[in-house]
Amino acid sequence: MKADNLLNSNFVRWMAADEGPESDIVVSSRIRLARNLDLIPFSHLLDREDGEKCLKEIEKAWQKSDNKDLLQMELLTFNQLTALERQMLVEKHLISPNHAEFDDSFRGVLANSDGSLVIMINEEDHLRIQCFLPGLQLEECYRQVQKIDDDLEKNLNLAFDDTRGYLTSCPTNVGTGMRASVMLHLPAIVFSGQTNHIFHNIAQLGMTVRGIYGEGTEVVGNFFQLSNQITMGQSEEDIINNLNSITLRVVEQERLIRKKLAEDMKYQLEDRVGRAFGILSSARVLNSNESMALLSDVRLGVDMGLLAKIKPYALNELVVAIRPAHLQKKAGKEMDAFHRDVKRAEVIQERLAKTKG
Amino acid sequence: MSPNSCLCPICLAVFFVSNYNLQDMKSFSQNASCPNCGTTLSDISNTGRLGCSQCYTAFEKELEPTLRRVHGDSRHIGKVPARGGEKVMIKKKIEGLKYQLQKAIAAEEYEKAAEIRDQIKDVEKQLD
Repeated sequence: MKADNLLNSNFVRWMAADEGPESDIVVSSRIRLARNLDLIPFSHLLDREDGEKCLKEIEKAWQKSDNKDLLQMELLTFNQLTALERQMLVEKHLISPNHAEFDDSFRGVLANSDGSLVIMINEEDHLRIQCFLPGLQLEECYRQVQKIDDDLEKNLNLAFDDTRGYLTSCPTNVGTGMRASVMLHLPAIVFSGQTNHIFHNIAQLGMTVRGIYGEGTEVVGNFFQLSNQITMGQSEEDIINNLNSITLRVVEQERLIRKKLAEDMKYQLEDRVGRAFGILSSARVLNSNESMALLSDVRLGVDMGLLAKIKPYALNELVVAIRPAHLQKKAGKEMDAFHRDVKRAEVIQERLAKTKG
Repeated sequence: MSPNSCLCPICLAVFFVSNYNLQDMKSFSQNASCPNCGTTLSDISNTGRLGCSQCYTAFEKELEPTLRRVHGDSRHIGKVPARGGEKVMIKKKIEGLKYQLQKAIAAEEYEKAAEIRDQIKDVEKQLD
């Protein structure tokens, strides 16, 4: 199976930092479109019969398509995947934690092999068409999901209303059904203590800030997800333009503080980066939060040219490879928290040694 | 962050319960449910979710204030499915632009309004 790649390799497309603009701060961009089939109950009300009917309709539309991107995708239903494998897709940010909780045969993903295009089936909505790319590439993400949406729609009776737009299970998504988001690494803004002030301003502009695993998740490793909150009264293009310009303003602010840190606190900065690298290279037991915090320091060092030999894509990959499901998949067995911490330290050392040489 | 920025089901349920227009709710027949999926208004308040596409029609009035509060607006002005036909898409686009024009005028952004007016003229030509 081609989509098996998503489970057997740590790497997915959004990690390719060298391909994306502003990737020293904007880790990745995502666009998702929520779509539903008319009259079929929304996903949370689906029983097996309606669920299977819904999946069949989607499958038919996919197979009838002549869109190359769609044809290259593969269907993975959740009854074919173990809980650990579904969790791996969450850790790669390709599906939501809620979606991974189910093992139904009518829920799953249609995905391509590099994980740049992933359609969640019967998550909160019947379809959530997503594109993930490295760096700041919201327009390109939109171009790709839009193409898939156009193509699927030819053979699907989508729920659409002239006034309300695309009808979604949750009224916070109705209208465009679009959520545009960027994952940002903002260590300098956090260090300067300006986080609350900046995020407050962002909220005023109809955008929202969350942890990296989406709704209700905590902020780890100075990673933040910035996305639009409003889906009515604005066109898709307006939403993307707004998010783009707000993101660029945050990027500018982060760069400004980084520059100031390099000028005013050169030794402290280099010390912090060096210590983080030292601990990650030699520690034998590392828990998740400590690793994420240290990897954030190392990443800052790499992005500021202090650790030239480490490649940013290797760090993107590491942030996912050290998550519990990926560690257990690599070890080939279930592990308790302590043994995961040992395995985590091993994986990090191995990876850093590789990038050094 | 604004108080309604968390979109988890629990916050949403709280949000729904606390922000619904209570008068609307009282005037709404307790037994009313969506003719397609049977979802009631109290189901929606409890879960923060509608039951199916028809719920949007069945609870149109009750949803209006919520949509306005969440989005600052209750009309879609974005993409339209292509199967609706090209003319429908153009008409929808004009409608959207006219709506933006009104907003620009209300905000006294006259330069922007003039730009939108020109755009409307251009798009209207496509209908002829």
